[in-house]
Amino acid sequence: MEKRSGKIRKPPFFFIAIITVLIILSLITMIQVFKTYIDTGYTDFLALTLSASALSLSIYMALQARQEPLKLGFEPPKVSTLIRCSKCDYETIREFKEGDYVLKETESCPKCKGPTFIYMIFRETEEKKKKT
Amino acid sequence: MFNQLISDAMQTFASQDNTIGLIVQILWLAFFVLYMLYGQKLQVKIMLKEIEGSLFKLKLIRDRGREIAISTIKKMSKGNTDPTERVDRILEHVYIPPVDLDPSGIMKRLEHLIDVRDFRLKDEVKLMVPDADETQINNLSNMLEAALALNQIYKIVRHFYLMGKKTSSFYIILQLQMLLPQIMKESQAFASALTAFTAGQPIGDGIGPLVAARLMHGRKEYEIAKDTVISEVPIEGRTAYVLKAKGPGGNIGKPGEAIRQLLEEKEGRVRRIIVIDAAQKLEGEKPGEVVEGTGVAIGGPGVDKYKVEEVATKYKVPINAILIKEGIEDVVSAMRKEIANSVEEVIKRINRIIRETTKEGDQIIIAGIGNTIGIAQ
Repeated sequence: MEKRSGKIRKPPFFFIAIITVLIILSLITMIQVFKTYIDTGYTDFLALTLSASALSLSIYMALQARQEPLKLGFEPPKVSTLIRCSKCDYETIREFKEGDYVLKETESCPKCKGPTFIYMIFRETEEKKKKT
Repeated sequence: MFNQLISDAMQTFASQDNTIGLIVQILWLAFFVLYMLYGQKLQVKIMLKEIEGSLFKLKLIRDRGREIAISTIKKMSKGNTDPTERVDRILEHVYIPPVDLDPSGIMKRLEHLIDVRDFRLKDEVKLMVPDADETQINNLSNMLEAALALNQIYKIVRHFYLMGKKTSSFYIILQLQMLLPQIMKESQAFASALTAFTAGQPIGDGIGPLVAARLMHGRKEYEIAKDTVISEVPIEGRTAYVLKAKGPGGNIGKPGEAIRQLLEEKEGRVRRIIVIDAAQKLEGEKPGEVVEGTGVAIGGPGVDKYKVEEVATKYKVPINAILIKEGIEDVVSAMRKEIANSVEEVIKRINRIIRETTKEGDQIIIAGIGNTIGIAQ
């Protein structure tokens, strides 16, 4: 089975190079516009608009390229097994092991040495953070 | 300073000479005419591109499902045989439903065909993994069913995509694009089902059998119908016949047949039937929410539902349903904690219904409906 990986997809070198050049050019243009404004009092709106657009577009593309890898649904979720003692109040949770099933008898209770069994097998859900 | 900036901007954009203005106008006009003529074609191209992306994802899901199925069978058969050819053949298996032009006797024919299909799949598994026990055979059959569903979904979507592309039909492509989010959700649900079936973990649909197992725990059970077990459980001074599919292998059993046989055996001397099953939750409802209803809460092709309705009507036995709400993505994937935790609430409701609607000494039937994978009795 596949192992769950939180790895971020690595963008290709060529793509990074283009974005870097685009960002550098946009920043140079912006500095130039600012300098011209300081020296002459004239604002080159066309250059300012174009460089700002190029800058935002490159930042957006860079963020898009860093998105998480494609999830197909085969990633094994975190499944836990809850074991309970039939005689006392002992219960423990461990990771699911192959061969586990509900009502399967397991090792004896560490508290009272009574019989224990699998009470529940469940998947922990990842709660998405809500924007407030 | 701000006013100066604004006036500069106005000057820059307003002081365009007539030539640039004319070019811009012509461009706008050309864009308008082109959009009028080729707008729909452009939209079709964009939609096809979007469908192509989803189709690629569906193909990846289908191929990964097939790989998992083959590797699991190989692992279980200890590499004695190569199951690839047989698995590929199973993935292409077609089920032909019975003719419904003459509905008379359709339920018997439907049940027969479902049984044959089920036997055939299990026989194939036995041939591939001869040493497998009953639980493993059931789990592997379920896993192959999930892989088969993934293959079918991919092929149907591909069919409509290619048909839409070939005919450039806006409406075929539009319908497919509208349905795609739901299709993708279902495919991902089947993909997680495959993972759960491979590991033998209880799934969301198993909440009915889980409630029944909790009630039956420690009681002696016997097989009343094929793959269906029953136990006699005293509840609040009444005798409850609790039934579920035989676990812990992936099984749904024959609850309809079991209830029919029991009612015939008791000649209708049963005060109430309580059916517990998972139900599709509506958007906004919480998973694991418990609701009550009237009627036979048994999904699937309808054979079991029909049998219970018929026999309950014959003996005038009231039927209660207790439903546990689940999203489509939870039904076939490993059971969510919220759903597993709803067992206590369901048992509370069963006790309340029994207290309110029956007298001490009465007999009742409690049926836990669903796939019992990972749940014994």
